[in-house]
Amino acid sequence: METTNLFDRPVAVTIEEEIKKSYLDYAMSVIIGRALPDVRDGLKPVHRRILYGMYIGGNHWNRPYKKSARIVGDVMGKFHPHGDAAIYDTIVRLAQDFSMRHPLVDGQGNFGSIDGDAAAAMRYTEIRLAKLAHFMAADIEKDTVDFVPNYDGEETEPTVLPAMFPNLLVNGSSGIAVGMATNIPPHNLGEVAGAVIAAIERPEITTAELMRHMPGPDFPTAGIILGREGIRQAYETGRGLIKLRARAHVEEYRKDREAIVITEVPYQTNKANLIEKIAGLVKEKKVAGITDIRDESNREGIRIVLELARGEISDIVLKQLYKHTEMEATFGVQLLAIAGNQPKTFTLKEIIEAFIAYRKEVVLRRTRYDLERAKERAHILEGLTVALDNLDAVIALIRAAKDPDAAREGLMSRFSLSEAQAKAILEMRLQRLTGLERDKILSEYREVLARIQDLTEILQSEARVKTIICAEMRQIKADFSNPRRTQIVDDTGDISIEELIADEEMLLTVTHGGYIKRTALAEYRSQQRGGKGRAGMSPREDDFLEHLFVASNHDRFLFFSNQGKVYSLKVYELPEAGASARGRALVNLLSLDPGEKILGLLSARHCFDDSHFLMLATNNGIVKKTPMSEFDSIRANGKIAMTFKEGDELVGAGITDGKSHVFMALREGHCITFHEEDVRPSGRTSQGVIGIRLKGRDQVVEMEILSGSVVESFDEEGASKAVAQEGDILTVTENGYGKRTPLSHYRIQGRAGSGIINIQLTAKNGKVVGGLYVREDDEIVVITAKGQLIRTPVKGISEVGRRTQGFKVISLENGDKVVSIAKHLAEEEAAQPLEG
Amino acid sequence: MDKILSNNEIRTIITALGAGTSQEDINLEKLRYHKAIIMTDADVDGSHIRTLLLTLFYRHFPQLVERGHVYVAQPPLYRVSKGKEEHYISTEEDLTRFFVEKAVASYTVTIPSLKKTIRGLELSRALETLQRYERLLARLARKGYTEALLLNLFGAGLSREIFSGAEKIGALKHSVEQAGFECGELRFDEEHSLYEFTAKSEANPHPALIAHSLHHAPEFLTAQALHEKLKDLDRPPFVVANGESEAKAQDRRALLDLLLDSVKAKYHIQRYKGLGEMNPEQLWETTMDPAKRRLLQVRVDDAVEAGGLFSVLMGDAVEPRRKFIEENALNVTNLDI
Repeated sequence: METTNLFDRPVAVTIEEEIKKSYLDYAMSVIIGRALPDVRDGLKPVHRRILYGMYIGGNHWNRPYKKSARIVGDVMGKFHPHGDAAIYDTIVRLAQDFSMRHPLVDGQGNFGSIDGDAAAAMRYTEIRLAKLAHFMAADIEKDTVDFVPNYDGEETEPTVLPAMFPNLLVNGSSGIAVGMATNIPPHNLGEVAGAVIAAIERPEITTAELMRHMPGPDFPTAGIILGREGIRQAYETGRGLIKLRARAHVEEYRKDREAIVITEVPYQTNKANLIEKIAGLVKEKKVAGITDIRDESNREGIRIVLELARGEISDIVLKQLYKHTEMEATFGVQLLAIAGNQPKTFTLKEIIEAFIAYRKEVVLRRTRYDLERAKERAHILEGLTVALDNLDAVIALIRAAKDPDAAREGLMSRFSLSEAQAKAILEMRLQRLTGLERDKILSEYREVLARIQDLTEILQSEARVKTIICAEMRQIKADFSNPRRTQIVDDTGDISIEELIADEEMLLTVTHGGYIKRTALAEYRSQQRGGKGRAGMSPREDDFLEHLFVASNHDRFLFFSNQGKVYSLKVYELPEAGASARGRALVNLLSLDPGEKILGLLSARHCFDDSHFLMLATNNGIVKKTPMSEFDSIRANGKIAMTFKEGDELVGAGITDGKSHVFMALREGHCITFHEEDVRPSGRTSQGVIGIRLKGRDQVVEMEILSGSVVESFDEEGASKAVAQEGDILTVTENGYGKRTPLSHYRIQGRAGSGIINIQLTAKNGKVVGGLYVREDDEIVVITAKGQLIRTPVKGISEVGRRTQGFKVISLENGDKVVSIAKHLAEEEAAQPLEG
Repeated sequence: MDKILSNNEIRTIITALGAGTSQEDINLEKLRYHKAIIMTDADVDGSHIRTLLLTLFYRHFPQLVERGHVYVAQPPLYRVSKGKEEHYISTEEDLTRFFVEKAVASYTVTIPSLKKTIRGLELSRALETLQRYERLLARLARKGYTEALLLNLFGAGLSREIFSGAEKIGALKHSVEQAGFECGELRFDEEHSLYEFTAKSEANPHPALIAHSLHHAPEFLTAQALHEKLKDLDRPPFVVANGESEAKAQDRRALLDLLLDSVKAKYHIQRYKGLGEMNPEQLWETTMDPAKRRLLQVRVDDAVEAGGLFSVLMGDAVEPRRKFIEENALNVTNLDI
């Protein structure tokens, strides 16, 4: 950008050009110079500057600590012209033993905690380099790495540290640059050293073979890694997902209760947040069974105690915690690092190779430097030997010289010495002339010659260089490695809660008021044998037992709401309670919309396939049949089971086997029975077809599925079909009238007709409120508008023909009306599975 | 928009402009200032903030950009001082030019093998050419074309003819290999019916494509031309003298270092990273004084390209951004670590 116009006459620049340039400057600077580590030493510039600053500042592991603020100021002023907070935060992280597998800074004071507490301010804390950190900078004075001027040209700084161990793998790294990010997990030093040595010895080594040395990451916070596939993928491609879990065990307390005790959390998980999250889940009832949460962690280690309610299965609670909290976390590996001023995604082998190549370079440069020094020394020693051999002549020459310069020149010309040699002779102390000292010089000379020989050989032999690198790796391993912390286990797949729960037979009860519970059948039966009257539940005055099922824990329950939605719960998800308990309200188990009511429920197990169907019926006579397979994946938050026209509501639901009959009763006394084949299966959200044609404002009040119980037969004329089977249709009307009519009286018709007469209606008996398929031994409950519940056995209601008006079944108070009827289930029936 | 307005700085900018809060209700009549000058620190974080502000103006007040109301301030990058003497310098090129002038003022360069002494204007031209050449070499080297390789190619006198016959290009490849390069297989580019191959060496493992397109590349041609001009400086050693003392330089780079370093050492160079490094008077003098300041006026040349660029750089999708960075990584001019 040449500028000739100085007086506020602007040069034009296009926005494209300007933004491109500015953005690239920024992006590349962040990528190369800020957020990503160098593949060779695993350090970002800020880390390198801190370590180098501390190293040259003499802040060594065996020296006293220095105030952090001093180091921060030093590093900032000399090398890193950025914020002091950023520098201090970096130092703090380098010192945290829960962030770094091998901390590079040794901190004195409060450096924060795994709860996310901040470190004390930098004016309080003190630091020095950790012992291992010296091996990051070792040999740096031997011209092993390139130096560049710092930001103001006053100092020079290394572009990379000599790094005697693969810090990138040992301590990992994470950083977000622009358009790319890195996330490298920490590893076990001993294992990494083993892998490096193996790769030096066999350059063609495979990832699988490397993994025999280093099976996976090793986090400072320990924990458990689930599965090896993610690790293998990360190592082979540079990207992979590693599943990481907290370590928890179960302890018993107060004799009969269990507590989950968490002793290790996944890497980078904030313990305080984790506990808060668990508490939140308990509060929202997303995880049940935890009665108390205590953090008993102390300086010794982590200990989070979750007390469970009696009878809670700890495995299930744990499973839920893994699912909903950071007790299980995923570490997304991204092996991205800078090499040759460019970002690159590495494989594990490439990282190790890059490290080895770099170490070779460092060792060669160090050897060359040592060789130079050795040669210089040999040169001086040669000079000294010459002087000692000609001691008297040398002394005479010096004594005769008029000044040091003359002495030097005399020595140089007389004994053909170099300037450096002559200088060394002149600076020699007299005591070196003693016999012993002379021997020393000679033996040193021999040593230096041997050393030169050795160093020269190293420079010429790649094998020697490799041996040196291996030896240094072994030394570091021996001095600094410690046992693996993170355990790697096979991922047994997603163990479903179901597998942890015995598929026991349960007795399920649902009351008319919507309370549900399950009781182990075994418990129920043993109580029955106790013989003291009925051990059944004692519902409230205004409630009664409406549904009773025997189902296994693994069975599924479908709940249908008046809004056409279907909800599903596994039996084991229902509250378990004793025989006399009422259970919990359904509205607390399902996420219902306001105004939504559960109208029906079904238990089902092995019928979520295409040969079973869900039959739904609405007020307006619509029926819909949908293969059960479509309801296989319904959860407690519900799915649409049927779409209604406005003003319509669900009145009944049932499962059919493809061979059942559907019975529908109308308010105005008609009814219909048709074969389910008349209804074509349709999708979950479809509207359905007409089941029975209604006249005027008539409504369907009941739908029953007649399965198995129906046998088709022919009447005398041999043409029209009728139903011949045991059992009756029991019909009850508003004014308390009712009757039973044998099923055989109900002819099977086609769908969508207006049906046949079910009951003769008069002013006396009123409209129909319900029509149930009953057997001789059943009991029914009649519910009135004023909340009266009247239980009556079916036997007590006379069996008559269809075209009758029925008999008074119950006497109502003045103005009261029957609103619905339901089967009351005798608990003895529980012995036989009922439905599904 | 609410999110934007929740940022205090942006609210201040919008209030100061006084022309409305978005491109829909903007009223340029009411604009209170006709120069909205973006003045950020001279480091890369400053660059970042500049891109963010440009995005704000471009996306929300495009009229301001179209009418040329948006400017970028050009604070100096360096302050060079020696005793009471001080200079503000705005680019790296200007900085070296400054030192070249200082060097030329006090030194002469003698080339003993040619018995030639260069001084004054001639020296300053030679040094500038040399510097341009060195910079170009550095850029080419990043793409794999090391100086050694380039010298080979300069000598070969590239032409279309060489690339069109298997025999001729074979000879070129052979000579490159003779010079110690590892060459890839000959490839035939069917579209142009021309041959090409790659060459790499230990010093530069990034393989460089040697093809007809190289012979046309401005960088290559310029480097070749500059190399031609520098013939005299191909004959080291050089003797640098300033009347009192003499020093020897073994090659061109050493010559450059020797001349410039000796001058540089006498000055104190401050590289500005933040505006906060300047005293108020200095800031006024160098950057804000309408009589002296230098501004860049932001214009939209190609609205489609600009729109696309903003989407890539500031949008939600990471992948295109990464691609853009990868494609343009080599064009970066100002790396700040």
